[in-house]
Amino acid sequence: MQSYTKGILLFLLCMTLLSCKKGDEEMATIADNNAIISYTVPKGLLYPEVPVDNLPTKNRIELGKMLFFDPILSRDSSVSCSSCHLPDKFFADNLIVSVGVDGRTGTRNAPSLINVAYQPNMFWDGGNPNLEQQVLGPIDNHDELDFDANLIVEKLKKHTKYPLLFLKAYNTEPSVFAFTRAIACYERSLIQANSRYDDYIQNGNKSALTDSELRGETLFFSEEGECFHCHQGALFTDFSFRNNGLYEQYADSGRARITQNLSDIGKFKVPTLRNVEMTAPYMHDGSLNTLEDVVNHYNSGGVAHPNKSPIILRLNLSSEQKTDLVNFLKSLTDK
Amino acid sequence: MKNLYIITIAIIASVAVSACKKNESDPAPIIPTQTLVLRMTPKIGADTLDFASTHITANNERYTLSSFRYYMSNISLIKNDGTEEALTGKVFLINPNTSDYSLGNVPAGTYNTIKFSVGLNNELNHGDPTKYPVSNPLAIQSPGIHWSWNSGYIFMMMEGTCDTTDTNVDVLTYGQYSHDLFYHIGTDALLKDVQVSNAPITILPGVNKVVQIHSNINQLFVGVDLKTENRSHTMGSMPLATKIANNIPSMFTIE
Ligand code: HEC
Ligand code: HEC
Repeated sequence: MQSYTKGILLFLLCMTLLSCKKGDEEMATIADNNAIISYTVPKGLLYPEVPVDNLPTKNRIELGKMLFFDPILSRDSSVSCSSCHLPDKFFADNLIVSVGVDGRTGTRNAPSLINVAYQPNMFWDGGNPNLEQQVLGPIDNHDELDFDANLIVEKLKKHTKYPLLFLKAYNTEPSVFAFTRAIACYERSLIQANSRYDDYIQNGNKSALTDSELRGETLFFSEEGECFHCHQGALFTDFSFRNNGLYEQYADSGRARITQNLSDIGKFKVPTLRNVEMTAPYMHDGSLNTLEDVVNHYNSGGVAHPNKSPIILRLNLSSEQKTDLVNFLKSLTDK
Repeated sequence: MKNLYIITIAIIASVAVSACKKNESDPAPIIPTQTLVLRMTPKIGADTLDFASTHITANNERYTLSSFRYYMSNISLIKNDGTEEALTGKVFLINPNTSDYSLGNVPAGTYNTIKFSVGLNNELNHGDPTKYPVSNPLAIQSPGIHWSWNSGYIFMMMEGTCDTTDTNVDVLTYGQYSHDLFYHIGTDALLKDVQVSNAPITILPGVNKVVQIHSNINQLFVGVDLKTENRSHTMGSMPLATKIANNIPSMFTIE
């Protein structure tokens, strides 16, 4: 009987919303929070592409945020998205490989989700097409949330708060469609670019960078350093898949896992370098501990691999140049 | 309170129905049509599939099964004169809990071949599974039959255990072998077209038709050494997945 009562109440709430009748204050707030808003985009970044079925509203972002931090998404309610994408770690986790349910570990390093709205595809190998569908990834993954999207929906339907929040945000009861959209809607809001480098570039603040950082910048964007060929644009990535010569034999085949092409073995999506100072360890498998290690890797030209990018070559940098490069990378950290 | 709820629903339903009324008048059908149902029966040799017993391949290798599901799409019926009746839009997830799959109304006549695909075409395969209503076979299933890490459906999913020791000890003790057996077959390249024409299908006006189609699971193991070739997620073991997929078309016969 109680659920019938609830059903009618929810239905009436819906109707009130739809008919735009000015009800009590709460109704007005819900309606306000259902207005399509714009993501706040800092100077230097373009407005991201947003799917038409998931335009941002306050209610959607709020719901997505609540879900992102809620272990209800994991099999034993022990792990949430935020267990591996921590807000105070720029939505990465500073572990070599992340830890999921039952303390299980995967094989890849968790990337930062800051500015994930701009990723044209998901994961190190680009195997998943967008943020909405990506949400299914960690749920299916036995080393992460190890759960079942339909069972999550059942739990959300029985929850004391979620049914109303879904109704407000997506005008529906909890569903796979709505919960994947809500989380994606929240993730898209994680847009940020307010580093000292941005201050230097966007505001022309000449004193924002030190001399060493400026020398590092020049090296980064020069044919001598070569970094900019792959780490280019406002996010320091061209989103291409490249083999940067880490291994002679890759344990993780990378892009080849998706395409089955031998020529894609060891190719991974070029990662953003924003906030890279704060998201150690590095590379798809977290195998390099520090930025110094990364620069030493590039300086050595990496190891031989048939798919290694031809522009990954021995650089012969001086130790001062290496320090400059590291210092430049550290100027990309948001405030 | 309950009545009020029902009345509310009734009102919504009646509004919805009246809103959906068709305006155009359907032209009268020239050929009578009749409902056709496919009764899909997985078999192992002469036995019906069950998830409790030990099965034996043609090579005398022992295995058990816990799951066997596959997508059937792109279905059409072909007449003697070669004309093809495409049953567009029908997608089934064939699973052991359901035996009958309705193709709806089909023009009466005699067909010598039923054609279908095991798997999904490129467009369906890479559609967004979160967009389907729960009742649709392409919606996220429990247990799942969609890959989120490379975004595509598993066309055929078979899971169980197999005897890699030839001792039969563990199965006698635990009811299953200690070695996993699973084939998760998918990717666009492994979409398989099937033609079954061992018996004609005659659909008479006024007589509901049920066509029984056997799928012989042992056929999947032709040329496969179960001792070593017992696991494939397709990606990472493409040669084995291709071998299994190539065995799919010969699995089917009309009873
Ligand atoms: C157990 C740790 C763990 C959990 C829990 C987890 N992730 Fe991740 N996440 C990862 C790892 C590791 C990767 C990289 C995987 C890969 O590339 O194959 C990743 C990748 C991603 C990406 C792709 C980013 C890019 O740039 O390609 C997104 C988006 C993401 N996660 C969002 C989420 C969301 C949303 C949740 C909760 C539903 C979640 N993650 C739960 C560890 C985790
Ligand atoms: C040929 C393209 C290419 C060039 C040139 C290149 N990189 Fe990379 N970079 C990549 C790829 C691809 C990865 C990820 C590789 C992997 O995980 O296996 C990467 C990873 C990194 C990472 C780790 C980021 C993280 O979050 O894990 C840093 C830091 C980095 N590169 C800095 C540089 C610097 C500095 C230079 C110039 C000296 C440079 N890169 C030149 C392609 C390139």
